[in-house]
Amino acid sequence: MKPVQRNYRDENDYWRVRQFLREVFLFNDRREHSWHVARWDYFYWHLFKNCQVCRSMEEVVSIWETADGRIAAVMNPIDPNEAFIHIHPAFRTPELEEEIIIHAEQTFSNIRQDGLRRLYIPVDEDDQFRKDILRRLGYAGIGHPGYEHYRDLDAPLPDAPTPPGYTIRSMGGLDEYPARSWASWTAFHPNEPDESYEGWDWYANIQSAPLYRRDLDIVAAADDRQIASFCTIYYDDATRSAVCVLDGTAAPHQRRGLGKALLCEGMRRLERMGCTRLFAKATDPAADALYGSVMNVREISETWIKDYKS
Amino acid sequence: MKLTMHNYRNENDYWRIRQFLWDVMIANGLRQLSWPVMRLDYWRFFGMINNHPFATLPEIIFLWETPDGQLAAVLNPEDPGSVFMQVHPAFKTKELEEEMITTTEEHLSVTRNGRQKLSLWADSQDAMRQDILNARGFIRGKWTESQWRRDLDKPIPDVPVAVGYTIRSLGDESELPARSWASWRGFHPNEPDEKYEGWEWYRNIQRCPLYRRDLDLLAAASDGTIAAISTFWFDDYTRTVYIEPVATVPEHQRKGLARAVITEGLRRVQRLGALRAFVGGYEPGPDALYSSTLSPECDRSDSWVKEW
Repeated sequence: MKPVQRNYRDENDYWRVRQFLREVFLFNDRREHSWHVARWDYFYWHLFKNCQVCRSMEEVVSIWETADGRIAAVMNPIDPNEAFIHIHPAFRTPELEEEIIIHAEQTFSNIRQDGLRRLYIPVDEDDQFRKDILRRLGYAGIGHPGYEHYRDLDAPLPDAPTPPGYTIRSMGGLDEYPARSWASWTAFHPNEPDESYEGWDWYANIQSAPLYRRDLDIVAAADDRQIASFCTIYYDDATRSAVCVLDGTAAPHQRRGLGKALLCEGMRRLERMGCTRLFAKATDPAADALYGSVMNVREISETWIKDYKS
Repeated sequence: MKLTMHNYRNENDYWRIRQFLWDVMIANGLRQLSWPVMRLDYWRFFGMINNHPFATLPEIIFLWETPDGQLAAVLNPEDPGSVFMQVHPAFKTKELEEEMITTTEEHLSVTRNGRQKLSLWADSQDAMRQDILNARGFIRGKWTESQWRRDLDKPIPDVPVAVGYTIRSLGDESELPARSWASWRGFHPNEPDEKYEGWEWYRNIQRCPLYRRDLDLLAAASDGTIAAISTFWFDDYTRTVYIEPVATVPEHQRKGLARAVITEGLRRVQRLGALRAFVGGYEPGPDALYSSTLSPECDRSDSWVKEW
C-alpha cells in the first residue's frame, strides 16, 4: 500500500500527528528516530507560533497517508531549509523516503544569493538506510551535528547541590512571565543589544502546549529574585518519557552549576510522576557537556546538506 | 476468545491500565462507560494514599487479558466495597461480565455487622450488566452518578465574577495550606475544625500525571482567602477534560463562584485543544450547577448493592 502525500490541513492534523509520533516512538523502543511528541508541541507552539519559522503549517508540513487514512510519515521544517522526517518503521521503504526528501527539496528550501538552494536533512549517525538515499540524491554529511542525550530514571539520580544564593523552584504565575522571558533573552542572546528584546508575550505559547506543566517549568532564582536559570520539561505520560525543551542560564549566572542543579531537580520530579526516560538535545559544546554530566546515553545526529539549482 | 485473569502485579500494570482506559474511552466515543484515566490517577495517587488506604493495589485490582497480552477488562474498587468494572467494548460478553461480578463477590466485598456488602456500578443503559446483577440478587442502590458533559466546539459564554473576587490559578507551595483548608471547609462544612488533618495530602494531588497548576483554579476573596476551587484534568490523549473537585467554602456560597471558576476552566481547556469536558454529580445541588454550566447531556451510572 503506497502512502500518498498531502499537505497539513487543520488543527485536527496537529492532534493526529501527535498520536502518530507517540506510536512511532513506542514502536522504536522509545528512541528518537522520529520526533518525540514534545518536540512536535514545541515546534508548533514555539517555533511556529513564536519564532514564525514558516508562514503556515499548511504550506510546509506534509503528511503521507495510506488509503485507509493511517499516517505513514510526516515531514516538517524547523528552519526554512531544514527538513525533519518522521516515518513509521512499518512503512519505511527507500521509495517513500526518497519521495519525502525530494518533496522537501521542492517545498521549502531557500534560494541563496548565488542562486543555489540549500537543504539540510538530519540523520542519525547509524542510520545507513537514510544515508544511502541521501548519498544517492547528492547530499553530503558535512553539517553541524546534534547530540541527543537521554537518561533512564530507574537508577539513583545524580546529586547536584544548589549553589549558595539561589533557590530552585517552579515557575510562578503571570507576574513572573517578564522575568522568565528576560532570562531567556539574556541566556540565548548574550551578544545582542537589549533594544532587540521583543517582550514576554511569547511565553504564553510555551505554556499552551498540551504537555506543559508549571511544576516542570523549573527556575533558579537569585537572592534578588531575578531568574538566573531555567529548565522547561514537557512530560508525556502516554509514553512515560519527557523532553527538556528549553534550558538556559542568564549570562551573569553561568558556570555555577545551576543548569545541572535544575536538570537534576527536574529528573527527581519526573521520577515521582512515573516518568522513566528524559531526553535533551544539544547543538553546542556547553549544552553537550551539561547533558553529558547527568545523562548516560549520547547519540549523534548528523546533518546532511545539498546545494542545488532551482 | 479465552481471557485470563490475574491480579495487578507491578507498576507496569498501572501504566498498562492507563493505556487501556484511553483506548476504551475512545472506543466508547468519549463517554464514561469506563473510568477516564484521570479518575484512576486520582484514586491511586490521592484516594488510595490519603483517603482510603485500605489495601494494596495487587490485592484489589484484577486484570483480564487476551492470550497475546491485550487488556480486555479491569476490575477495581474506589472505596471499600464500591467496585467498578472497566470493560473494552470489543470484549464485552455476558460470560466476562459474570466472571468479573463473581470475582467482585469473592474478593472485594466488605463485612459490616456480620454481613457481606457490595456495591457495583452499572451504566443506566447497560441492560446486559443490569440483567446479570438482577439475576445474582443485586438491587438498585440509592446512589447515581450523573456524568455531565459538554462539547467544547462553541464559544464559552461569559459569566460575571462576583464583586470582590478574583479567578486565578493556584499559586506555589506556599498556597497549599490555604487550598487544603478551602477543600476542608467546602466538603466538611459541619465537621469540627479539630478533625482537619493538614495540607500535605495536596502534594499527592500534584503528583498525578495529568496535573497542571494552571488548570487548578480558584476564586480568591479580596482578603486573599480561597473561596471556591475547581481542578481541571486535561487529558491530551483523548482530548477530554475531567473536572474534579468543585467546591465553595460555605461563607462564600450562592455568589456564582463555582460557575465562574468552571467557566474559566472551560475556556482554558478549550484553548488547549480539549474537545469534551466531564464532571460527575451525585446530588441535586451540584447536578443543577453542572447541567447548567456544562449541558443537560449526561450518562448515568447507578450503584447496585447486594448483601449476604
